[in-house]
Amino acid sequence: MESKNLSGILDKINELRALFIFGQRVIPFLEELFYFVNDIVPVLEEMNLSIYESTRRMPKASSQLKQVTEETEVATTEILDSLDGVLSKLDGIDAHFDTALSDLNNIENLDDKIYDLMRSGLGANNTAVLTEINALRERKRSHLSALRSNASGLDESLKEIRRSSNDIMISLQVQDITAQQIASVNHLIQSIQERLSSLIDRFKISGAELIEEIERPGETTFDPFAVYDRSGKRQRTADEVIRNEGSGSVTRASQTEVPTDPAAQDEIDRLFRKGNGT
Amino acid sequence: MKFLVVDDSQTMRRIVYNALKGIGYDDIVEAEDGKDAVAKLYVENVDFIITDWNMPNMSGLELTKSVRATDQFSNLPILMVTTRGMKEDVMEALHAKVNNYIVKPFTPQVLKEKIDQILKTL
Repeated sequence: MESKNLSGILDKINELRALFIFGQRVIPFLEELFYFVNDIVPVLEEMNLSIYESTRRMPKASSQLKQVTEETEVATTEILDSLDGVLSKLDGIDAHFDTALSDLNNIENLDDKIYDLMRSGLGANNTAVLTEINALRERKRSHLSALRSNASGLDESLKEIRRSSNDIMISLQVQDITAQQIASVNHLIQSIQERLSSLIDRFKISGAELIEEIERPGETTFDPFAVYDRSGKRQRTADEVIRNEGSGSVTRASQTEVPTDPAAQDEIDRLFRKGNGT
Repeated sequence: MKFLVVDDSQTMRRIVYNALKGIGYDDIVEAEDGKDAVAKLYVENVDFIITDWNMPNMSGLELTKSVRATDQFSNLPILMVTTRGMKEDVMEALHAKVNNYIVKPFTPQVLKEKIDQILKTL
């Protein structure tokens, strides 16, 4: 055998040796990988099932949310009905109240007239009787005054009830605001369900039933940032924008192209100042 | 003066209706969305529109654009009453040519103030 050939064989043996050494080092890692995959497969399957179950329940959650909106609307309408009843009764009480106050004044005026007639009829010979009648008239006046004072307190209470009723009516706007929030959440649920459904289709879970689709509302818009804020801050922001835009009339609005970039406020202000002579 | 109140929420229509009555306006018609409102405009002699923004079928913004694009109604005052309170929303509404803007929740005083402001500019 030539020495050149022998050297080639030795090189190959060295390469094999390196391969064996590499194999020896890699085998434990491969073993670990094997155990890991063995452990992870059931977890992944469980995850798939869990995603499938959650996705399957989404239409129900969505429909329950929709039901919340519908039921709160019914309840709000019932509250509004009751408030209308209260306000209508208050109107009635107000009317009776005005009549009662006017009657009190009439009684006092009539008493004055009766006393004047008695004084002229009985004359100077019956001073004692007239003094007693006058004292009684004064006592009656004092009672009438007490009645008026009580009535005034009652009137204040009625006004307070009216203010509270109006306040409740303002608060009931929360129904519309929560409806917007719920519509936004429902939209999010729909989007997630769509994504997960297509993922599940790819996994092809055995024995899995077809997932029901969430019933889509007709074409609609909703406000994902709807908030119940009675501080008036949001209204002040709107007022400020309107003031700065110099709007307030159809003519002016139709003459102006409003840039959509909110950052360019100075530019917008300048633009609107030009046409803001009125 | 005849008002057209447009809102898909029955609650809100009722609240606006009551608020309008409270400030002395009795002639009020209602519509459930923009489409319904457009139909009502042709049969009712409406002088003033109060509309919500977010509604099915036709939004308040689309209604505003449609009204402004129709010669017969283009000068009708439009007051937007909505939950949308971002600066960009108000700009968009102004761009669509609404006359004024109210953010929910509102008080009858604010409603009166905005109606008066609009009527003053007509």
